[in-house]
Amino acid sequence: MSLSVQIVTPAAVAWTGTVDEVQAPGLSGEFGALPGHALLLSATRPGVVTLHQGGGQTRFLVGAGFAEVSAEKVTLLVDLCEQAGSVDKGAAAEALAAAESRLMHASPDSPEWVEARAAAELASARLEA
Amino acid sequence: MASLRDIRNRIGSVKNTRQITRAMKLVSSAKLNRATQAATSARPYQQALERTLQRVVGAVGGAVEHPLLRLPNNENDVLVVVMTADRGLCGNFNSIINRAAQLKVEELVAAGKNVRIYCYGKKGRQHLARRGFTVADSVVDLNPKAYPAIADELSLRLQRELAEDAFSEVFLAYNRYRSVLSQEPTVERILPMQLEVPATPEGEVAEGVDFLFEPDASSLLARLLPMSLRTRLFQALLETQAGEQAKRMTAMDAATRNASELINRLTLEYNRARQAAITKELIEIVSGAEAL
Repeated sequence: MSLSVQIVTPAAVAWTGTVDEVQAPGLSGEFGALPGHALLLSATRPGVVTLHQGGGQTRFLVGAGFAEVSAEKVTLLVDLCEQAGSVDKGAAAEALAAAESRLMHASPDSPEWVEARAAAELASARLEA
Repeated sequence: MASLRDIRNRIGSVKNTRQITRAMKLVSSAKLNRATQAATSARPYQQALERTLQRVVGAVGGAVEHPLLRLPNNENDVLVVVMTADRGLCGNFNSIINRAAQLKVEELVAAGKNVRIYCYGKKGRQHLARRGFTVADSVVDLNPKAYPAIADELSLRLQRELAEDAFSEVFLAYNRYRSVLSQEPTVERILPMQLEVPATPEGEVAEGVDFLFEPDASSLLARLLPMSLRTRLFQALLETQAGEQAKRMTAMDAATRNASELINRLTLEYNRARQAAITKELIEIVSGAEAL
């Protein structure tokens, strides 16, 4: 049994293939999906998606989005998707600092605040990747 | 009667024009390729998003509140977003969408609405400004690479303005891309959004109810709607670009053909005039000899 996985971004299908297990950053915590998973539709936050294949694993950095899980298929609908190895940590650290200082100055729940929080989440996900 | 030199010059200038139109055709066909490719690779996301939206809407059954769904507290102001090309020489691409947009604006004005216009692309701004409409804002010199950012920005801006009750409705005017030969001017209302609850056939379970939602369905919907708005704008930009290049390619192909035809006709005329001149000269020589 294996899972077919599709990572889709607005610009293109970033990755397709079959894997043994998927780990994705759900909004309320990391979740894993194995073949035969119940139907699930979950929002995801920026973070790292890990695909387990055979013995090895592939990691992707993804933006916010959705994961649709069924028994044999996982579709990740995300803002962006990058190979985890190719992330520029220096730029991410700078972006995180900039986003955090914007967060400090914006009033909570204003559009600027929401935007800065999204930027901060993405930057810290980049640092983790 | 045009002199030989005149005709020769004319042929030369038509040849130059043909060179230009041919080059433009090649360039736009390359751009069209890229644009259709971009549109094709963006489709899986749109389809997946659409499907997800249907599921969630099916599960919540339409009874949901969201800033993008509520009717604004404003009845007078209407926003019209017009997407055109930046350049001309692309057949009737700009004129059909401008005409459709203008009709809509006039209709809204006649209904007593206060219309604000946002233009994406120079040609729309030019057209509407010349006809005395005030273009509140415009973004020109669009680069296909920047489309995701433009769509982001516009969708955020629309959401912000909707939250401030700055308009009652938003219409989007753009050319829907059907095929290389056909683009259809489309004016559609994009805000406030309307949810279409998928009809459930008798005796079947509504779409999406067998799903586990994480978090609950209405908060998922709240995240989906802005994405759907942005995707729609992005899609419209992609289709505008593809349509423009397709129209330019066909227009420049026709122009190249016309130029070739014209060159043939002029060459014929040139040869005939040359022959006439030779004959005339011969007659002069012969009659001169006879006179001796």
